[in-house]
Amino acid sequence: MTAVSRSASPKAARGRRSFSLMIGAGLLGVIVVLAILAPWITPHDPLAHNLESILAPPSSDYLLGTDHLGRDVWTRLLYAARLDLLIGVGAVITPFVTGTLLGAVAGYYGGRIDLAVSAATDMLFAFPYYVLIIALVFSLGPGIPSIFIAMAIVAWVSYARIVRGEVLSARGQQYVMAAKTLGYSDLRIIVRHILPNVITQPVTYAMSDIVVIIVGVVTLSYLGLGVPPPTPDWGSMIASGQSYLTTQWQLSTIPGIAVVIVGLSFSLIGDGLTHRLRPE
Amino acid sequence: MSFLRKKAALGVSLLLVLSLLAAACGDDAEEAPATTAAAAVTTTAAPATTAAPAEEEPEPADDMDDEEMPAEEDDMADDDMMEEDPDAPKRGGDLVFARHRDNTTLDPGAAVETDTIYVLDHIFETLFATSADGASVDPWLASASEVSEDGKSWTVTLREGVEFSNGQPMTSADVKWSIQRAIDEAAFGFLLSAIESIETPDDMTVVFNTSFPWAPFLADLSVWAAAIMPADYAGMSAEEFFENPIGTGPFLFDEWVPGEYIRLVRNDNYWQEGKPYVDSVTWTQVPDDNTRVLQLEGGQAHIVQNVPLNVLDSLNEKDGINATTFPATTVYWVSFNTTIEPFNDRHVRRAIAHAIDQDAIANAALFGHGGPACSVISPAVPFHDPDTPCLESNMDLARAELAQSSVPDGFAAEYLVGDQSPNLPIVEIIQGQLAPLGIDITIRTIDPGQFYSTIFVFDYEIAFTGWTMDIPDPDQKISFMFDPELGGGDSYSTGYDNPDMIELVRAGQTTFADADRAKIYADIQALNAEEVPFIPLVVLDAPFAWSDSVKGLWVNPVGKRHLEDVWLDE
Repeated sequence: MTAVSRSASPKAARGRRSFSLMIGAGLLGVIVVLAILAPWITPHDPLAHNLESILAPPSSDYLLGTDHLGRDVWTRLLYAARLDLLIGVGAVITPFVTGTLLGAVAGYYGGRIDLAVSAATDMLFAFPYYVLIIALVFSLGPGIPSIFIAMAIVAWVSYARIVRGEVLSARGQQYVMAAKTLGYSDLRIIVRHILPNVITQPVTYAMSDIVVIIVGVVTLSYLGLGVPPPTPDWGSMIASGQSYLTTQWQLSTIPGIAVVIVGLSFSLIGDGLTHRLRPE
Repeated sequence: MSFLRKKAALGVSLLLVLSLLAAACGDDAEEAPATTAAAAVTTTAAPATTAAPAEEEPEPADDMDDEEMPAEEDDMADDDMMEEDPDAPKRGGDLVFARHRDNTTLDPGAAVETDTIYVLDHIFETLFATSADGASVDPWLASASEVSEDGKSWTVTLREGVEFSNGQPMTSADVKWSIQRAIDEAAFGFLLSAIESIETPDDMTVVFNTSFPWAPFLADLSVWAAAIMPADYAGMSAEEFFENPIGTGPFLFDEWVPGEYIRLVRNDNYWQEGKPYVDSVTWTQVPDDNTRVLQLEGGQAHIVQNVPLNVLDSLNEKDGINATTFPATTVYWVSFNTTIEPFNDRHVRRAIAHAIDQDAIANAALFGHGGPACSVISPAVPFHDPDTPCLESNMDLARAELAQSSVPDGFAAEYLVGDQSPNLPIVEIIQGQLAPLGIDITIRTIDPGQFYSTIFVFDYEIAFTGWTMDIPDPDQKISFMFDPELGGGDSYSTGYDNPDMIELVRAGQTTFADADRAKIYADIQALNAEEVPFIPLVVLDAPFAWSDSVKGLWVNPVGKRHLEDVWLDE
């Protein structure tokens, strides 16, 4: 079966969208490269205390100064990027897969299955996102595994809802009818025919979701529920720098800016992708 | 898909708001429900509390700067105050005191946290009160006391002319009823448990008979839980009474909006003529450290407590603001759950003690407003022994000690800490100091409100705890820390149970001569240094900042504020 045909959008709009995609990818690319190269381009150990030079101002030795334990902020910033990006991307995979599959099944079969999935999504949507995540992580005990589990439990609903809607409308399309007529199994129809046509929606959503998850991880660490010290993480860096906000503002502000830049770049990518891939 | 992006944007902005707002969950670890603590001890900087409290007239010390000291000699001669003298106390004004957390109760029997207690101290008073230097007690609602030769009977004479805020005079019946209520119901009633009977030969005399000679008796009577209130709650039910409590203190309860503020107004019946000076005191709850400081700078608060140590000196240089520490009695330490392996092994505890470098911690985490600790008794508390033989900070000795233990190659452990400044940096430093021993520490931060309920059920391995004195006698904390049977706290939830130690603790309670008690408490401090169920880390001062318009502020080493002495020059 062919994919749904795509009509060309006006050139100007397309150019602008590509531009946002490029900027987003560029920003993210720089951060990813810096994060990957962290061990070679940072002069210090991210964990080593240097109690002789705590809260040092930026200098040639310490690009962004040192924190309250004398650790190099620049080094920790890059190591934190490694971890936070990995968690963000990693934690999106499970909800993406489960949400997409459940949404597809619900949309395709309808009836009781749909009712059950929809009831579950409605129930989870009824709670504020962060409240649910924080409550789950709190009860599971702080740490990275808890974050993965909490995200997996909560974040799939958006994917399920998006995919369900798409599948619901695809179900009546001629190519699905045709596949059914040919006697293909439901599994084959869902996986081979419907999903390829609806997958762009959850993929672009995943771009925004990564932002939400990274912010979620940072927020949890900020609250002491995420990455345990001394592992560098933007959230715990913001939290521990907070006591020194009036004298060493850079300790909290710089990791905060890093989160904003990463969020912005994923949002721009998502924005660009949405318009690139959206069937029109 | 705009809602998706909105969600992302929401997330980002939430984070920004969080990072700017600075949540601070600031509570103080030191406030063991069991302790009350205030913030802080210390050794260094003594903000000159001059104060030589007279024997009879408790003249609460004066404050720090001579020039702004309201001359307190005479009983605040009223006429002086009305004259032009700029140093004479002025009446009026609403004093705003910003602190990091709110009251939990208005009942001194139920109160266990310092911040609750420091408010109740202004509504209710005790027979004796800690002196300005923190070394002893002065008669407060009492005027004199006498102990019998066998040390088992204390005759206390009550102060003349003391009335409750409802106008009812305070009599021995009220005292007997209040103390009995504290013994029966108060969280800290165990301090008074040596009392066997209370007699009231006349309206102004109370005789306390103890079941054995009890040296810290008068100090124990100064604990907030022994607050004097009208007998039988002045005819009300307990519930009614504590909705609108009646005491002898300088202020009356006015309004409490939980989570926001608690306000007290002047008690015109107060027994100290002319006091208090201000019309009312409002304690506001401002959890974030930086926000409290900004409120002071912006004129929204007159006094703030728990000022971040790293900004204290620069804050003091600003116009119109004073920022300093008052000597206090806080000691922080590492405590172990000695009921589980490997912490039941003294070699493990000693290895950790050798590996910890207190000087480095004090230098990095306290910004000069405290110092390394060696003894569990702070230098500001009687019977502190400066020569306590502490384990030397030395990695070689630490390795040698660990080699003799059940876990010679190290182990992994969880370190429980209440999430507030300056606890976490200290624990992070210790985490780094123990790593070379092969001891892999995971830090478990917990909301300060849950900290003590967690350690009281032994749900921890290593914990960050401490103590601030409530009374000027080490027995209160020493028995809580080392006497699992009578001290009321399973040896401060370590489970440490050493018959030699218990014998010393009890000897300290029943020995009257100061020299002998000093010897006993020196032995206790030395035994702890050897066995280290508690590894003392640092002693802390209590950091405060206040605007120039606040006159007469002083805080004694057990954290009492005596706001009846404060006046506003606005």
